[in-house]
Amino acid sequence: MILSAQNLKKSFEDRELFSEVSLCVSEGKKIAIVGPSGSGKTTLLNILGLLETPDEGILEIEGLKVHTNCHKIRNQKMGFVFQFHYLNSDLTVFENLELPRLIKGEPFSRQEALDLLKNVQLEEKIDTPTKFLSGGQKQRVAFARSLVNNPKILFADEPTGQLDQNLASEMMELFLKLPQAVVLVTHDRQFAAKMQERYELINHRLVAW
Amino acid sequence: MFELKTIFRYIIPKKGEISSSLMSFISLFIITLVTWLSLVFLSIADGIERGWVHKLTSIHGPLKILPTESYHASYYNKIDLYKYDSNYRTLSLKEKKNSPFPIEINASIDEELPEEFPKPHLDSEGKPLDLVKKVFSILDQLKKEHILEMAEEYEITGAMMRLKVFSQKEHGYHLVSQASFIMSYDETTLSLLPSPVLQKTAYIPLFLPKSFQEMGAKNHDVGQLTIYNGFSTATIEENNPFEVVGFYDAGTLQVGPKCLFAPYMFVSRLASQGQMESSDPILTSGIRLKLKDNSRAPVVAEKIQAAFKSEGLQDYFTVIPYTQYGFVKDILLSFQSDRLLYSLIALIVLVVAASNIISVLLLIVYQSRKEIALFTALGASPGALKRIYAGLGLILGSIGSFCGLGFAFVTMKNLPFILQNLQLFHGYENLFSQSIPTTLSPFSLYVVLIGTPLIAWIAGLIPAAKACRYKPSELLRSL
Repeated sequence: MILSAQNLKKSFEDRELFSEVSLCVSEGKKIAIVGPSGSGKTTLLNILGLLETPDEGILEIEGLKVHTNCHKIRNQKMGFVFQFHYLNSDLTVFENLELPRLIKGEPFSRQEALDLLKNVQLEEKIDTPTKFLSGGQKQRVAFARSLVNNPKILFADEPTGQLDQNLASEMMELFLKLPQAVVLVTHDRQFAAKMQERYELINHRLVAW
Repeated sequence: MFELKTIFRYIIPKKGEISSSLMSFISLFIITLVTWLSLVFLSIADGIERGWVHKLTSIHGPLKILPTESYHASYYNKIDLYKYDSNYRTLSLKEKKNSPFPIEINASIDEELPEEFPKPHLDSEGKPLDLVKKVFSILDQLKKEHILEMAEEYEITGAMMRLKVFSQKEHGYHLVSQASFIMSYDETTLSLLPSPVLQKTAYIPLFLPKSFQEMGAKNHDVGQLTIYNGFSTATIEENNPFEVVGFYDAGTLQVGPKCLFAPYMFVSRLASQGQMESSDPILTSGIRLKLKDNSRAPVVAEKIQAAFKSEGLQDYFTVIPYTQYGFVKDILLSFQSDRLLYSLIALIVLVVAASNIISVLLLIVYQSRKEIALFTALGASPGALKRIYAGLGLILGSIGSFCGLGFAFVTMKNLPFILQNLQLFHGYENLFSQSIPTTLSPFSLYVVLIGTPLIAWIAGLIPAAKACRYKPSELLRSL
């Protein structure tokens, strides 16, 4: 088991977002979470990704209890793809890819970067500043960056939100091909349907769909 | 590596990312300016202080070893009154140092000592200890260790003197009579005086205080030193012709206007004729020491004192650093107060510069919120974020310090030239351009080169703490 969440609860001020949320993610499993706007999908993903603290509940990664201070786990076991790419536009593709490895404190070779970029068909852009890339290309670089430290689990928050239909499909294919476990938050049920397990966050509860 | 790469990205300008580099540059410029200002300011103040200390100690030396009352009352000193070898008179320190004769009386020539004569201080072998030779062996050792540069015996004496200053240009002479002190000089002391070239003269070469120049005395003026020696039957007037060979700046020397400098042998002869007793260390014959670094005088004094103690000399000699000279104390206190004040001003200026670092870094942190959120999401710890922004402050402080150091070095080297040109604006003759320091003082270097990066680093901790408080989930949602 990569990730185990039990009885997670989160409220904002007096408004309860969700409670009694439990989720288990095993190796390589592809999970989609859908739900209406404001239902707390992103918050749940942030909690699972150790970016936010739940009000209640237990979170375990590979059997170890974890919390937001577990930076190493976030750096080495988890990958993130956000709705917006969050690339530094003045850095080259290589320099952006290098970031998670620099944070880990290990060197990142050009060959490793090329191998990752090959999967997203952007090898020739390795030295291009990301400001010269299209929206789709940027999102693919962000996807490649999430895999730099070879994480066990990937969290993706509306990764296709900024892309057109064709690019979104390509991106989804990339997720499905990954050997890593994926937890994907989307409002697009069509994409969600392609995942192995599907959940819906509705009426403050996470229910299988 | 990650932290350093991020820091240099904020400092080194890149196209499109000029704003954070520009802010860093402004901060850097202010630190450079403040460092330059503080270094020049403190160096000038320190240099003027060192100049004064040099002036104040040039005649007396930064450190003195004086024989105590115990020395004068000792067997070692009094025995000479009963010795043929010493012509039945007490010997000066120099004579004692160079004396080839044994300390004890020569039973075949000299009379027996009185019954209540002091007992000798014996060494480990049971022989009378040669106090002066022991002192000089300790000093020689310190010279070998490069702690001392020079040790020189000097004599000071006083008598009623009549000074006739003849003028070669004017007809006749005018008479200046006063009770004066005569201090000995030798070649080393001479180099400290303003007219180091000693002309050949058939008379006693004498240096007068500058105040005599104002009275009309000139080089090559001749005159007489008149000493009255009292004997049991009559008072004999002894006239010693002299030639003025130079003038010295008495500065703040307590007895300056009344102190004349004459060759050692002459002063020693006068001193042996009438022992001048004084409780003032300035007016006591002794050994003056020269150091490479005058500021170490109190430390060296302690070291010598300790060596004296281990050799049993502590009762016979006292070691006095210039900081304990009566006439120096007030001036030094004033310089210390000034230095404290200037250091405080420099510190305040540095703190003002540090507040600029805080505001610039806060701005950079605010502009980099998205990046900070991403770093956190990618696993950067709060420690890493702190290292980035506090490190940015430290690096800005360090680079600024070194730039300021470079500018300060150039400024100090050209300070006389700058001051000379400033004369054109203020219209006065520049009083300081001759003696203004042209080197950076070690004190200012310590204060500024350690203080600036330290304050800059501390200043960087505030924005660093701010960066750590950001919640990545909120930032990623809002940006």
